[in-house]
Amino acid sequence: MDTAFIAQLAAIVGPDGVVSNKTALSVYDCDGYTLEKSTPDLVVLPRSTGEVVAVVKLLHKEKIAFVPRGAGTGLSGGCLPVEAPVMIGTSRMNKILHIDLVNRYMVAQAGVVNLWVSNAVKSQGFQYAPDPSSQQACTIGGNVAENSGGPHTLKYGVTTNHVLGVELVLPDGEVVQLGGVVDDVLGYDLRGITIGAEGTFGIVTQATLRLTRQPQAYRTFLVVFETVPQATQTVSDVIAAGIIPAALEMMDNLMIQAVEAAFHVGFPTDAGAVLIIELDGLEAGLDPQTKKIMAICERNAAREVRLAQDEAERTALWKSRKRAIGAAGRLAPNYCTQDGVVPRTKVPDILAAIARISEKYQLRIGNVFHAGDGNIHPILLFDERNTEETERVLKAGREILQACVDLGGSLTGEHGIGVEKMGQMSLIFTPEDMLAMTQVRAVFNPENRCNPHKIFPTPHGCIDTRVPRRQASL
Amino acid sequence: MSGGENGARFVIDGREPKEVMFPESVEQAAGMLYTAAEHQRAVSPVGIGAFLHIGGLPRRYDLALCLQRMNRVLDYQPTDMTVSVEAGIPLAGLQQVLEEQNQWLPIDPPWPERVTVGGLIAMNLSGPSRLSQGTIRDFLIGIKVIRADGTVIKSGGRVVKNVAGYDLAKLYCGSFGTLGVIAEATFKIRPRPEAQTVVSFLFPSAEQAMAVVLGVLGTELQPTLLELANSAVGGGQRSDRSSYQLFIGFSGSAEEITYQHGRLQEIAGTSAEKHPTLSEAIRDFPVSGEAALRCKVNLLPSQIAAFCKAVEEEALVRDLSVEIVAHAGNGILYCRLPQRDNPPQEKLLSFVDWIRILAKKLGGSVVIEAIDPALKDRVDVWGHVGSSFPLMKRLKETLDPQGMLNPGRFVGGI
Ligand SMILES: Cc1cc2nc3c(=O)[nH]c(=O)nc-3n(C[C@H](O)[C@H](O)[C@H](O)COP(=O)(O)OP(=O)(O)OC[C@H]3O[C@@H](n4cnc5c(N)ncnc54)[C@H](O)[C@@H]3O)c2cc1C
Repeated sequence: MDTAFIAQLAAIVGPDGVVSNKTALSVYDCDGYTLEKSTPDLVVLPRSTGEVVAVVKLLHKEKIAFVPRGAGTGLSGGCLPVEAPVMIGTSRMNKILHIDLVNRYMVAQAGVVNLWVSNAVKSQGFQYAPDPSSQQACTIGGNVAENSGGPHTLKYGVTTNHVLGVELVLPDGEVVQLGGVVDDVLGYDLRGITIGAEGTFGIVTQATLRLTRQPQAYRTFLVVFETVPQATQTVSDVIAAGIIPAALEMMDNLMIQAVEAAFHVGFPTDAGAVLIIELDGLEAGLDPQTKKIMAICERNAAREVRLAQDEAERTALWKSRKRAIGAAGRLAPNYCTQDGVVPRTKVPDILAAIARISEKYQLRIGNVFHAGDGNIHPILLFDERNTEETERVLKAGREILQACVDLGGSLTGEHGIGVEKMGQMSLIFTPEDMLAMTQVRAVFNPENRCNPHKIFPTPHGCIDTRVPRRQASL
Repeated sequence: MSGGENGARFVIDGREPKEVMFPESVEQAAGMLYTAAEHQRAVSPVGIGAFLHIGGLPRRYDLALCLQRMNRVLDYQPTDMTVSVEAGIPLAGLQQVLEEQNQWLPIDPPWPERVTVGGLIAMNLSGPSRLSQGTIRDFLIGIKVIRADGTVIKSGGRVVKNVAGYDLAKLYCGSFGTLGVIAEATFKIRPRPEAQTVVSFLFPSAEQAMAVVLGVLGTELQPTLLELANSAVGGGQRSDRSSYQLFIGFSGSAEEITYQHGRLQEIAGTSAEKHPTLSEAIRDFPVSGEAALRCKVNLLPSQIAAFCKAVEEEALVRDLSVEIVAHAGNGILYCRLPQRDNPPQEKLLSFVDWIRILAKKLGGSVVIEAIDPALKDRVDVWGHVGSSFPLMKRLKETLDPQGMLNPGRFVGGI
C-alpha cells in the first residue's frame, strides 16, 4: 500500500493504530479456523466510532474493500481477508460506555471482551447471559457478528436475545443506530438481521446489551457414564421431562482424557462420557429438580453423579469445560472443530454417525458440545505434516455436516459459515433463499466491500489453502 | 380456491378490498401473489381480521389474501420442543395442540382466538409474559415466506440453535405484511409451568407502584409478569380514584411460588390480594374497548412513573379521562381515551401532540394504534423512526420493488 495512503490512515488513528510491517501482519492471517490463511496488507486499529467513520469513508472513497476483526477467535474464517486488503480491528475500542442497572442494560464498544461485561456488573448481582467458551478473549463485536452462543444459552438464549441495540458504520461511512434501549423500537428489526450477519453489513462500533440478574442458586453436576448412548439418552430424557437446565454439556472419552491431561480436575479417564448438568434459579426450587435429574441419571445407569459442593468446585468444572477445546492440543499436533446442529433428540444418531465417519476415515474425533441444544462440536485430530490425513479431515468434516442436514439439522449452531462452510450452503438453502439474503446484504453493503467473499458460495480467489498449523488454544 | 367472499370482514380504515382470496396451500398462495404482481394489484395479507385497525391508511387495497385456510400443524416434536405450523392457524388453536403435551408457545397477546400465527409475527404482538419469556422473535426459529413476486423463500430451520445464513426471520417480526407473506413458521416451545399465581397490590401513586416494580426486578425474584393499571381501568370502579393496581405473577413449583410471595410481601410492605390468573380485562386491554384514541408508548421502565403522573395531570387539565395499563417491567404502556367521552377531534389531535412530546422528552416513542381513520391523514400513527429509516426504505424497495404489499400501512408511509 502506498505510503501516502498509510499516512492518511495514521492521521486518523495515530501512527500506533496502523500495522503495516510484514511480521506484525502475520498475526492477522487467520482466526481460530486455520485451514485457510491470507494476510491483510494493512491493519487499522481505530479507538472510537468517529475514527471508524473516518477510516471507512476514506476506504469508500478509494474503493478499497475491508474486513472487520475482533479478537480473531472465530472458528469459520469470518475475519479472513479475501480480496480485502485492509483489516479494521476493534482491539482498541474496548470501553464500557454506560451502565444502567435500574433499566438493566449496558452500552459497550465493540472491542470489549465478552467476560468484561459480566465482570463489570458481577458485584451488583448482574450478568450478561451469552457465555461463549472463548469468553475470556472474544469481543462483543464478534459475538454480534456471529450471534454467538455458549453453554448457558440452552436456558437463556443466544446473543440476539440479549442485544437491544447496535451502532453500525455502513460501508460508505454512514452511522446508523439499529434497535435501541427500549424494548420495542419502530420499524423493521434491523438489529435482528445485523446480528449473525458475520460482519458483512458494516462495522459494529457499539452495542446495547441486556443485563440479567444472576441466579440465586446453582446445582452443578458431573455425571459419569460407561457409554456414550447412556449419556445421550439422559440428555433426551431430561429435555423430555420438561426440565430446561441452565446448561447441559457433554464430553466423550477422548475429550475427558484431553481435559484431564491438561487440568487434572479428577475426571474419570476410563468413562465413556460425562455430562455437565447445571440447574439454576431460586434455591427453593432446586432440590425437587435435582431429585428428578438424579432419577433420570440413575435410570440410564450413570456410574456416578458428583454434585459441586461449593462455588470453587463449580468454577473448576466450568473452567475445564470451557477450556476443553484448547485441551485437544494435548492429543494431536492439530485439530479442527466442527459445529453442526441436529434436533435435540437426534443427538444419539449424530454421535453414532460421527463414530462411523471416524472409522471410515481412520481419524480420531473427540466430542465436547452443547448437548441440550443439539449443537455438536466434533473435534477432528490430525497432524498437519501429513497432507493426506489433512485431506481426510476436510472430507470427514463435510460428511459430518451432511449427516446433520440429513437428520433435519443445520450446518452451524454458533460458529458461522464464514469461508469454511460456504460450499455447503446449498445443502440447506435454495438459490432463491440465497438470492434474498444477498439482496438484503446489498441494502447495507451495496458494493460488497465490507467482508466480501463470505457466507455465500462465490468463486473466491487468493486464499492460500495451506498446510494448517496448530490452532490457537484458549 | 374461492375468491370474492364479502370483503366487509377485511375492511381497513373504511376501505374494502376489491377481492378476497383464501389460498389453501403455500403453492396456491404463491400463485395468487405471482398473478397479483403481474397485474400490479396491491395485496394485504390478512388472518382473522381483528387487528386491522392498527397501522397507517392503506394507499391502495385491491386484494385481501386471507390465510385462514392454511391452518395446519405441519410437524410437532414434543420431545424436541419444536413445532412447525402454517401461518393461518389461530394462536389459541396452536396452544391447544401444545397443551396436550403440557407445552406452550410462551406468548400471551390479547385475543389469542382472534389472531393467527402469521398475524402475531407480522404485528410482533406480545403480552404480559414478555417480561419473563420475551417476544415472538425469541421463539421463531424458522420461517417460510412468499415474496411479493410469488417466490417462496425460507430461513432458519427446525433446530433451536442455528446461524446458517442471515436471520431473515427477524425481518418479518413486526414487518406488518410489507415485506412478504408469512406462510409457515417454526417455533421453539416451552414446558408449561407447574403452577402460576397472580397477586395484586394497590398503591396511591404510580411512583410508589414503580418503586416496587423496580425493587422486585433488582432482586432474585423471577416474576412472570408485572402489569400496572391506573384507577380508570375497568370503568374507574375502584374506590380510590387516584390509585394504581399492580399485578405480579409468579410461576414454577409450589416451593418457588411460596418463597416468592413471602419475599414480595417484605418488599411491597403491604398485603396482597390473590387472583386465580391475570384477568382478561388486563390482558386484552391493548385492543379491547371502544377507544377514541389508543396508543402504545415505549419507554425505559424507570420513566413510567413520571409518564403516568404527567399524563394523568394533563388529562385532568384537558378534561379527558385516560386509562393506562403498562407492562411495567418492560417500559411499555398502553393509554386509552374511551369513546364514551366522545372527545372532539381537535382535542384528540392536540393530546396526541402533547403525549408525543412528553414521550420524546423521556427518551421514548408513541405509536397510535387506534384513532378515527378520518384523522389518520393528519397524524403519523407510527411516529419518527430515526437514523435507520433510509435503510428500512431500501429494504422495502428491495423485497417489494413494486410497493404492492400493504402500501402505506407501515412506518414512514412504507
Ligand atoms: C476455544 C474456543 C471456544 C469457542 N467457544 C464458542 C462458544 O461456546 N460459542 C460460540 O458461539 N462461539 C465459540 N467460539 C467461536 C468464537 O469465539 C466466536 O465466534 C466469537 O464471537 C468471535 O469473536 P471475536 O471477537 O474473536 O471475532 P473474530 O473472530 O475477530 O471475528 C468473527 C467475525 O465477526 C466479524 N466481526 C468482528 N468484530 C466485528 C465488528 N466490530 N463489526 C462487524 N463485524 C465484526 C468478523 O469480520 C468475523 O466475520 C469459540 C472459539 C474458540 C477458539
